[in-house]
Amino acid sequence: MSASLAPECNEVKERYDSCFLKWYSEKYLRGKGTTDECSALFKDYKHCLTSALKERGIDKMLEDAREDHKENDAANMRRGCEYVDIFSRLLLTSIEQNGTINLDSGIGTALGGFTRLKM
Amino acid sequence: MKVFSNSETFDYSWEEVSTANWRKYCPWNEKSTHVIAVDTLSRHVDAETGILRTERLITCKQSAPKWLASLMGGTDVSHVFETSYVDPESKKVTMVSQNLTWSNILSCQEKVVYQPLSATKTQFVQEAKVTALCGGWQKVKNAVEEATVCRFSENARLGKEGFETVLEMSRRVFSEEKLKQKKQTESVAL
Repeated sequence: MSASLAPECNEVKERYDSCFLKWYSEKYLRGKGTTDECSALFKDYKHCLTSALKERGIDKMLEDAREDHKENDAANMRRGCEYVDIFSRLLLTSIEQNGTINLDSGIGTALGGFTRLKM
Repeated sequence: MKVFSNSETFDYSWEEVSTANWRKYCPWNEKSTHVIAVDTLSRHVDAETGILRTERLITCKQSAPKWLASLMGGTDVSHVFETSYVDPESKKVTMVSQNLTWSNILSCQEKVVYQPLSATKTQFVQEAKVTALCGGWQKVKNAVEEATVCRFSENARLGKEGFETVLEMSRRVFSEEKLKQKKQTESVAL
Protein backbone atom coordinates (compact mmCIF):
# COMPACT_ATOMS: atom_id res chain seq x y z
CA MET A 1 0.00 0.00 0.00
CA SER A 2 1.16 3.54 -0.58
CA ALA A 3 2.59 5.69 2.19
CA SER A 4 1.00 8.64 3.97
CA LEU A 5 2.46 12.11 3.50
CA ALA A 6 2.89 12.09 7.28
CA PRO A 7 5.18 9.19 8.27
CA GLU A 8 3.68 9.14 11.78
CA CYS A 9 0.33 8.14 10.22
CA ASN A 10 1.69 5.23 8.18
CA GLU A 11 0.77 2.55 10.65
CA VAL A 12 -2.88 3.56 11.14
CA LYS A 13 -3.19 4.20 7.41
CA GLU A 14 -1.93 0.72 6.55
CA ARG A 15 -4.50 -0.84 8.89
CA TYR A 16 -7.31 1.21 7.42
CA ASP A 17 -6.27 0.61 3.79
CA SER A 18 -6.14 -3.18 4.24
CA CYS A 19 -9.57 -3.16 5.86
CA PHE A 20 -11.02 -1.00 3.09
CA LEU A 21 -9.59 -3.08 0.26
CA LYS A 22 -11.00 -6.27 1.75
CA TRP A 23 -14.41 -4.66 2.19
CA TYR A 24 -14.31 -3.19 -1.33
CA SER A 25 -13.41 -6.41 -3.15
CA GLU A 26 -15.31 -8.91 -1.03
CA LYS A 27 -18.45 -7.00 -0.13
CA TYR A 28 -18.97 -3.71 -1.90
CA LEU A 29 -18.35 -4.96 -5.45
CA ARG A 30 -20.60 -7.94 -4.77
CA GLY A 31 -23.45 -5.69 -3.75
CA LYS A 32 -23.25 -6.79 -0.13
CA GLY A 33 -21.79 -3.74 1.53
CA THR A 34 -23.74 -0.56 1.79
CA THR A 35 -21.76 0.85 4.69
CA ASP A 36 -18.04 1.00 5.11
CA GLU A 37 -17.16 -1.37 7.93
CA CYS A 38 -13.78 0.23 8.46
CA SER A 39 -15.06 3.51 9.89
CA ALA A 40 -13.46 2.97 13.32
CA LEU A 41 -10.05 2.50 11.70
CA PHE A 42 -10.68 5.46 9.43
CA LYS A 43 -11.38 7.65 12.45
CA ASP A 44 -7.94 6.85 13.90
CA TYR A 45 -6.23 7.52 10.59
CA LYS A 46 -8.14 10.73 9.98
CA HIS A 47 -7.32 12.01 13.46
CA CYS A 48 -3.62 11.58 12.73
CA LEU A 49 -3.86 12.99 9.21
CA THR A 50 -5.87 16.09 10.11
CA SER A 51 -3.18 17.48 12.39
CA ALA A 52 -0.49 16.66 9.80
CA LEU A 53 -2.41 18.59 7.13
CA LYS A 54 -2.83 21.55 9.44
CA GLU A 55 0.87 21.62 10.30
CA ARG A 56 1.75 21.71 6.62
CA GLY A 57 -0.90 24.27 5.71
CA ILE A 58 -2.52 21.89 3.25
CA ASP A 59 -5.94 22.12 4.93
CA LYS A 60 -6.43 25.65 3.57
CA MET A 61 -5.59 24.59 -0.01
CA LEU A 62 -8.06 21.73 0.30
CA GLU A 63 -10.96 23.97 1.26
CA ASP A 64 -10.76 25.83 -2.05
CA ALA A 65 -10.38 22.67 -4.13
CA ARG A 66 -13.40 21.09 -2.41
CA GLU A 67 -15.46 24.07 -3.39
CA ASP A 68 -14.39 23.63 -7.02
CA HIS A 69 -15.14 19.93 -6.99
CA LYS A 70 -18.76 20.39 -5.91
CA GLU A 71 -19.90 20.66 -9.50
CA ASN A 72 -18.44 17.22 -10.22
CA ASP A 73 -20.81 15.73 -7.69
CA ALA A 74 -23.75 16.96 -9.69
CA ALA A 75 -22.55 15.00 -12.70
CA ASN A 76 -21.29 11.88 -10.94
CA MET A 77 -23.42 11.30 -7.88
CA ARG A 78 -26.61 10.43 -9.70
CA ARG A 79 -27.73 7.81 -12.14
CA GLY A 80 -29.75 8.05 -15.28
CA CYS A 81 -27.90 11.08 -16.49
CA GLU A 82 -28.26 9.97 -20.05
CA TYR A 83 -26.62 12.94 -21.64
CA VAL A 84 -23.32 12.30 -19.88
CA ASP A 85 -23.62 8.56 -20.43
CA ILE A 86 -24.25 8.84 -24.16
CA PHE A 87 -21.46 11.36 -24.36
CA SER A 88 -18.88 9.11 -22.69
CA ARG A 89 -19.91 6.17 -24.85
CA LEU A 90 -19.52 8.26 -28.00
CA LEU A 91 -16.13 9.35 -26.76
CA LEU A 92 -15.08 5.76 -26.11
CA THR A 93 -16.21 4.64 -29.57
CA SER A 94 -14.44 7.55 -31.19
CA ILE A 95 -11.20 6.76 -29.37
CA GLU A 96 -11.51 3.06 -30.16
CA GLN A 97 -11.97 3.71 -33.86
CA ASN A 98 -9.38 6.41 -34.33
CA GLY A 99 -6.98 5.80 -31.48
CA THR A 100 -7.48 9.43 -30.56
CA ILE A 101 -10.18 12.09 -30.47
CA ASN A 102 -10.72 13.52 -33.90
CA LEU A 103 -11.39 17.17 -33.27
CA ASP A 104 -13.13 17.64 -36.60
CA SER A 105 -15.64 14.88 -35.91
CA GLY A 106 -18.99 15.39 -34.24
CA ILE A 107 -17.65 14.21 -30.93
CA GLY A 108 -14.72 16.61 -31.21
CA THR A 109 -17.10 19.50 -31.67
CA ALA A 110 -19.25 18.26 -28.80
CA LEU A 111 -16.15 17.97 -26.65
CA GLY A 112 -15.18 21.54 -27.50
CA GLY A 113 -18.64 22.76 -26.59
CA PHE A 114 -18.61 20.71 -23.41
CA THR A 115 -15.25 22.12 -22.41
CA ARG A 116 -16.37 25.67 -23.01
CA LEU A 117 -19.49 25.08 -20.98
CA LYS A 118 -17.44 23.82 -18.09
CA MET A 119 -14.90 26.62 -18.09
CA MET B 1 -5.38 25.66 -22.81
CA LYS B 2 -3.98 22.37 -23.99
CA VAL B 3 -5.70 19.01 -23.89
CA PHE B 4 -4.02 15.70 -23.37
CA SER B 5 -6.00 12.52 -23.95
CA ASN B 6 -5.13 8.89 -23.80
CA SER B 7 -6.90 5.55 -23.73
CA GLU B 8 -5.68 2.10 -22.81
CA THR B 9 -7.14 -1.37 -22.57
CA PHE B 10 -6.26 -3.66 -19.69
CA ASP B 11 -6.75 -7.42 -20.05
CA TYR B 12 -8.39 -7.72 -16.65
CA SER B 13 -12.00 -7.60 -15.48
CA TRP B 14 -13.45 -4.30 -14.32
CA GLU B 15 -13.67 -5.70 -10.77
CA GLU B 16 -9.94 -6.50 -10.77
CA VAL B 17 -8.97 -3.16 -12.27
CA SER B 18 -11.17 -1.10 -9.96
CA THR B 19 -9.77 -2.95 -6.92
CA ALA B 20 -6.13 -2.69 -8.00
CA ASN B 21 -6.71 0.98 -8.80
CA TRP B 22 -6.79 1.69 -5.05
CA ARG B 23 -3.22 0.54 -4.80
CA LYS B 24 -1.96 1.81 -8.10
CA TYR B 25 0.81 3.73 -6.35
CA CYS B 26 2.01 1.01 -4.00
CA PRO B 27 5.61 -0.29 -3.94
CA TRP B 28 4.68 -2.89 -6.60
CA ASN B 29 4.53 -0.03 -9.04
CA GLU B 30 8.14 0.74 -9.79
CA LYS B 31 7.34 3.12 -12.62
CA SER B 32 5.23 5.81 -10.97
CA THR B 33 7.84 6.77 -8.39
CA HIS B 34 6.88 10.44 -8.68
CA VAL B 35 3.88 9.66 -6.44
CA ILE B 36 5.27 9.52 -2.90
CA ALA B 37 2.06 9.43 -0.85
CA VAL B 38 -1.67 8.81 -1.23
CA ASP B 39 -3.97 9.79 1.63
CA THR B 40 -7.70 9.25 1.93
CA LEU B 41 -9.49 12.37 3.16
CA SER B 42 -13.09 11.23 3.16
CA ARG B 43 -15.14 8.30 1.98
CA HIS B 44 -18.79 7.34 2.00
CA VAL B 45 -21.40 5.27 0.20
CA ASP B 46 -24.37 7.29 -1.03
CA ALA B 47 -27.48 5.72 0.48
CA GLU B 48 -29.63 6.52 -2.52
CA THR B 49 -27.44 5.49 -5.44
CA GLY B 50 -24.93 3.12 -3.80
CA ILE B 51 -22.11 5.16 -5.33
CA LEU B 52 -18.86 5.16 -3.36
CA ARG B 53 -17.41 8.67 -3.17
CA THR B 54 -13.80 9.14 -2.09
CA GLU B 55 -11.59 12.19 -1.66
CA ARG B 56 -7.84 11.64 -1.76
CA LEU B 57 -4.75 13.77 -1.48
CA ILE B 58 -1.93 12.67 -3.75
CA THR B 59 1.58 13.88 -3.03
CA CYS B 60 4.12 13.96 -5.85
CA LYS B 61 7.77 14.73 -6.03
CA GLN B 62 9.21 15.22 -9.43
CA SER B 63 11.90 17.11 -11.14
CA ALA B 64 10.26 19.68 -13.37
CA PRO B 65 12.47 21.30 -15.99
CA LYS B 66 14.72 23.82 -14.21
CA TRP B 67 13.22 26.94 -15.78
CA LEU B 68 9.72 25.75 -14.92
CA ALA B 69 10.69 24.86 -11.34
CA SER B 70 12.11 28.33 -10.73
CA LEU B 71 8.92 29.83 -12.14
CA MET B 72 6.96 27.70 -9.69
CA GLY B 73 8.94 28.85 -6.69
CA GLY B 74 11.56 26.16 -6.45
CA THR B 75 9.61 23.44 -4.66
CA ASP B 76 9.53 19.94 -6.11
CA VAL B 77 6.77 18.52 -3.88
CA SER B 78 3.26 19.06 -5.13
CA HIS B 79 -0.24 18.02 -4.11
CA VAL B 80 -3.20 16.88 -6.15
CA PHE B 81 -6.79 16.67 -4.92
CA GLU B 82 -8.83 13.83 -6.35
CA THR B 83 -12.52 12.96 -6.04
CA SER B 84 -13.60 9.56 -7.29
CA TYR B 85 -16.93 7.88 -7.84
CA VAL B 86 -17.47 4.14 -8.10
CA ASP B 87 -20.82 2.99 -9.42
CA PRO B 88 -20.87 -0.79 -8.96
CA GLU B 89 -24.19 -1.16 -10.73
CA SER B 90 -23.23 0.44 -14.01
CA LYS B 91 -19.59 -0.65 -13.46
CA LYS B 92 -17.98 2.69 -13.81
CA VAL B 93 -15.13 4.38 -11.97
CA THR B 94 -14.74 8.13 -12.52
CA MET B 95 -11.82 10.05 -11.03
CA VAL B 96 -11.52 13.81 -11.24
CA SER B 97 -8.39 15.57 -10.06
CA GLN B 98 -6.97 19.04 -9.76
CA ASN B 99 -3.58 20.41 -8.74
CA LEU B 100 -3.43 22.17 -5.36
CA THR B 101 0.11 23.40 -5.62
CA TRP B 102 0.94 26.24 -8.01
CA SER B 103 -2.80 26.56 -8.67
CA ASN B 104 -2.41 30.33 -9.02
CA ILE B 105 -0.25 29.92 -12.12
CA LEU B 106 -1.23 26.60 -13.59
CA SER B 107 -4.49 24.66 -13.67
CA CYS B 108 -4.37 20.94 -14.39
CA GLN B 109 -7.69 19.15 -14.48
CA GLU B 110 -7.72 15.46 -15.14
CA LYS B 111 -10.56 13.03 -15.63
CA VAL B 112 -10.12 9.27 -15.74
CA VAL B 113 -12.86 6.72 -16.45
CA TYR B 114 -12.60 2.94 -16.13
CA GLN B 115 -15.36 0.94 -17.79
CA PRO B 116 -15.64 -2.70 -18.84
CA LEU B 117 -15.26 -3.56 -22.53
CA SER B 118 -16.06 -7.23 -21.87
CA ALA B 119 -15.92 -9.66 -18.93
CA THR B 120 -12.14 -9.75 -19.16
CA LYS B 121 -11.22 -6.38 -20.62
CA THR B 122 -11.36 -2.89 -19.12
CA GLN B 123 -10.98 0.42 -20.85
CA PHE B 124 -9.16 3.36 -19.32
CA VAL B 125 -9.85 6.80 -20.75
CA GLN B 126 -7.87 9.79 -19.54
CA GLU B 127 -8.29 13.42 -20.39
CA ALA B 128 -6.30 16.31 -18.98
CA LYS B 129 -6.81 20.03 -19.50
CA VAL B 130 -3.82 22.21 -18.82
CA THR B 131 -4.16 25.99 -18.59
CA ALA B 132 -1.38 28.40 -17.70
CA LEU B 133 -2.91 31.25 -15.72
CA CYS B 134 0.12 33.45 -15.31
CA GLY B 135 -0.21 36.88 -16.79
CA GLY B 136 2.33 37.83 -19.38
CA TRP B 137 3.53 36.62 -22.69
CA GLN B 138 1.56 34.05 -24.56
CA LYS B 139 4.87 32.45 -25.44
CA VAL B 140 5.61 31.77 -21.77
CA LYS B 141 2.13 30.41 -21.18
CA ASN B 142 2.46 28.13 -24.18
CA ALA B 143 5.80 26.85 -22.96
CA VAL B 144 4.41 26.14 -19.48
CA GLU B 145 1.43 24.28 -20.96
CA GLU B 146 3.64 22.42 -23.42
CA ALA B 147 6.03 21.23 -20.71
CA THR B 148 3.14 20.10 -18.50
CA VAL B 149 1.42 18.17 -21.27
CA CYS B 150 4.76 16.58 -22.15
CA ARG B 151 5.13 15.41 -18.55
CA PHE B 152 1.55 14.12 -18.62
CA SER B 153 2.20 11.90 -21.59
CA GLU B 154 5.43 10.60 -20.08
CA ASN B 155 3.66 9.79 -16.80
CA ALA B 156 0.78 8.20 -18.71
CA ARG B 157 3.13 5.77 -20.45
CA LEU B 158 4.92 4.91 -17.21
CA GLY B 159 1.58 4.77 -15.41
CA LYS B 160 0.29 2.10 -17.77
CA GLU B 161 3.44 -0.01 -17.36
CA GLY B 162 3.42 0.38 -13.58
CA PHE B 163 -0.28 -0.41 -13.27
CA GLU B 164 0.17 -3.59 -15.33
CA THR B 165 2.61 -4.84 -12.66
CA VAL B 166 0.16 -3.95 -9.88
CA LEU B 167 -2.63 -5.84 -11.68
CA GLU B 168 -0.45 -8.89 -12.16
CA MET B 169 0.65 -8.88 -8.52
CA SER B 170 -2.93 -8.35 -7.31
CA ARG B 171 -4.14 -11.33 -9.31
CA ARG B 172 -1.34 -13.50 -7.96
CA VAL B 173 -1.89 -12.46 -4.34
CA PHE B 174 -5.65 -12.89 -4.72
CA SER B 175 -5.35 -16.43 -6.07
CA GLU B 176 -2.85 -17.34 -3.34
CA GLU B 177 -5.28 -15.97 -0.76
CA LYS B 178 -8.10 -18.01 -2.27
CA LEU B 179 -5.99 -21.16 -2.19
CA LYS B 180 -5.12 -20.52 1.45
CA GLN B 181 -8.78 -20.08 2.34
CA LYS B 182 -9.68 -23.25 0.44
CA LYS B 183 -7.03 -25.22 2.30
CA GLN B 184 -8.27 -23.84 5.60
CA THR B 185 -11.88 -24.85 4.92
CA GLU B 186 -10.67 -28.28 3.79
CA SER B 187 -8.68 -28.83 6.97
CA VAL B 188 -11.67 -27.72 9.04
CA ALA B 189 -13.86 -30.15 7.15
CA LEU B 190 -11.48 -33.04 7.75
